[in-house]
Amino acid sequence: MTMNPMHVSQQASAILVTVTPWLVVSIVFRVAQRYARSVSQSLERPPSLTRLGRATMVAAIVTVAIALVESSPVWLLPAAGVGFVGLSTLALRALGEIDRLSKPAREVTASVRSASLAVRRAGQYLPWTWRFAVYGVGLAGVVAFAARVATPGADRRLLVPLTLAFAAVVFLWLYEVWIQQLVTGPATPEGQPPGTCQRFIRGVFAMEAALVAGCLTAAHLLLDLDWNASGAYGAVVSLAAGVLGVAGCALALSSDLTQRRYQQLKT
Amino acid sequence: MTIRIDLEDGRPLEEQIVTAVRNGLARGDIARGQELPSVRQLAGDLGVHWNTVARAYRRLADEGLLNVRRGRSVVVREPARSTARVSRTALRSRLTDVLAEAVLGGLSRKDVTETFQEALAGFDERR
Repeated sequence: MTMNPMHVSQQASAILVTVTPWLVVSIVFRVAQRYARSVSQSLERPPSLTRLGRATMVAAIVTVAIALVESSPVWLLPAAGVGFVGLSTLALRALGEIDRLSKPAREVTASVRSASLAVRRAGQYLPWTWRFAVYGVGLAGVVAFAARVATPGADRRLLVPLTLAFAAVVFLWLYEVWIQQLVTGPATPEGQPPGTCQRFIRGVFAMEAALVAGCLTAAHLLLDLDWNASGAYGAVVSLAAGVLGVAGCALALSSDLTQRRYQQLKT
Repeated sequence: MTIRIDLEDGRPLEEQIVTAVRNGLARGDIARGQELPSVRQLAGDLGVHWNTVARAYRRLADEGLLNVRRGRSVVVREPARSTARVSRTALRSRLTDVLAEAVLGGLSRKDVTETFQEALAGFDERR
């Protein structure tokens, strides 16, 4: 059986899809663990994450076996999809457990609570020019992409480039919401040393910029790619963008795990 | 300015927020025309339900101290002066209650006078 770069790309994509739930939960756990350490607390690895790791290993072996026996995407991608759905169920359970276990590091149970009456805005942490630059890159990239799609081209494979362009827009929105949440969201005065919030918000912004620029660049690079001539190049770009996207989703999911706050009263 | 609430205080949380903002205005710690944090921000910071902060802001607006616009900012009115007038008789009555508590608690006349003067000195003289 001869395998061309397109086959290799499909198989690598199938494996990436299979391991995505584990990858996402692992990143979320690392973020929560790092945050817990920053406030001098520990976060043990939840048993559900260990179970998810084992199940992912089995699913990845099955996916690789299917890929070796039958290289056609007709079998491979549905198999990866089934693995993804099954592992996602375990991943949701693991995320819930991480949320529960990391609460002591995030929640302050003081009866006396204080809050500043100063209004917080994103502009205090990030220059508006930086944010407009990302909006500009996003808008220009999407408009240019739409213009190129509207122009007839030879033998295009649109699924991956369209997904990446769409992902860039989603990430732009998702990370802006995250930045707003960090700026105006819960914050205890005794929570962190001065400057921590600004550094963290700038880190989130840097990730937003990387995701928007990375996804749009990959979408443009793959749009008119000749897969027969540059298949390996296309496979590498697709996979790199896929890993970047998974990391972006995982970090967005961890957004709620890195803010110190008073325990929320129900009424 | 920082406001403080105590979950073990007998007063409702809404009342504590209203009192803290009122005190801040009276002492001049909150400036006229100053924008206050949104309901969401303050509720999140204090870890209380947003409805508690919304009701506190509404009460202060009804007293004529704040301008609250739905979906917009919360701003201290210029000049911030409560529409709830306090008569000397009412003030004397409330002070008598506090003084009785202080005397029964063992404070001397001198302690009471000094404490009262210190507390009064904290308020903005222009009001």
